[in-house]
Amino acid sequence: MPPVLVLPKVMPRRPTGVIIGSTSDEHASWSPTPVPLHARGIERIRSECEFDPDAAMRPLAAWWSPLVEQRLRVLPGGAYAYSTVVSEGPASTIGLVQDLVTVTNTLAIRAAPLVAGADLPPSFSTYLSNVTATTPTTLEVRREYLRSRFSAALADARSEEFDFGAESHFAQRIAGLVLQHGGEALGTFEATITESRMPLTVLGELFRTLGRIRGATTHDERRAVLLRFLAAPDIRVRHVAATGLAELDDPAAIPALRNALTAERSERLRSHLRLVLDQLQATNVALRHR
Amino acid sequence: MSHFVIGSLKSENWYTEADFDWLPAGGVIADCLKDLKPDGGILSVYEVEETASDDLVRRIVAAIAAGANNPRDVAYFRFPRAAVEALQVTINPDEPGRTGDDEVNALHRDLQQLSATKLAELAGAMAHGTLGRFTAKTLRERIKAEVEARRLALEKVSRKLRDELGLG
Repeated sequence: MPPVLVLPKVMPRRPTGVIIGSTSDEHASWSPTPVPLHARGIERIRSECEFDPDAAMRPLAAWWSPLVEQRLRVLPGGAYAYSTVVSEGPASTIGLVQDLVTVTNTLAIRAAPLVAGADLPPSFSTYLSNVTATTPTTLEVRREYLRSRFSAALADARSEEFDFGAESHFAQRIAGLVLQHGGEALGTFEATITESRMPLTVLGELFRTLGRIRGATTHDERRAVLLRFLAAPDIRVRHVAATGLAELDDPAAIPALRNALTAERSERLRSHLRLVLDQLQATNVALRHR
Repeated sequence: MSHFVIGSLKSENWYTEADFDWLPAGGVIADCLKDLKPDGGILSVYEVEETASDDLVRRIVAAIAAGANNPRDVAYFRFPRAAVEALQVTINPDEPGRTGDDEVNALHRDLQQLSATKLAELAGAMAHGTLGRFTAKTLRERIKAEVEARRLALEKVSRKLRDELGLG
């Protein structure tokens, strides 16, 4: 039985250490507790605190990301305000985070609902301060979330056939993660690729997708990721990184490709690098004449 | 002696003993088999004269790719007919191709009655032929040029690709 806590009479309007988020990507297909407990939690928050759950939850209608504000902290083992958007509108409560798990594409936050009880910390805010000093930051949890999403996509990709000429489901998921989470998603991808042995077929699809995404926000970061793998020890990883750079079609990669060409010993890969280099040089000329 | 052309390959799957010292002479990494996708023991190739230009070969590869919604980078091999005959593979010239380029379709051949063993041997022969490639961008440009030159029928280009290339 996890400990439960009592809210203080006066709760900070923006309580340090409380993270506000949705329990699912799909706006609430999962709920950790029965609805009556949610309602009870909201009622209790409204009656006992200055904290306005409706105001806090409002951003969720526009953004489904489970972790909303980077500077707040999520508190495994601590307090956690969460929301589920059900047909009649957002419902919210505060609970105790027990752990974070991924169910298919959903980040499920297991939390004990807020209930009145004994064995409680004397002060909610003091309790939060203590917990925030010792628990992972939101950023770390976001990374864990992205790792889960990426791992799930990779697991599915292992059984997906990447047909010539068809956009894969994996590519769509990767593009979605990059568009929603930006450079943070790229950092997660890179760490996972480095730590795990990924099938080359999947890696090739990943790099092609990273090159193909049309969006200026992450353009430089995607180029940087591909360039780093251009120096990978595995010849075929270098190969698909170059393919990703061709998809990106950014002349800024020309110097690095030239260096790679100079260093490359495999004639077959050199031929591939020359092909990519030729394309980027042609793009460069076209851009200058525009 | 003529050559065969096979398209729709991923170039990263066709490294040979020149790059992997654990491969025997004439070997190719097994990943290449993922690209071949025979159907009923039949593999589609196109036959060109030994003296045929690389431009014709690239026209064939573009015609094959044009039906796809989302053509990506593609590799192709040109390899001698003699290598196929040496494997005693049946060559059927009677089934025309189904691309949007009639001249290309006339060059179509079915390599028939392929066993897994023969397919692997065939892959080895291909991998030591002449490798060519398109990036996704250059492939799209080539498909567009083929349509504009009226060699490739517009209706055989996928709708999505037509829109992307501004081909109406």
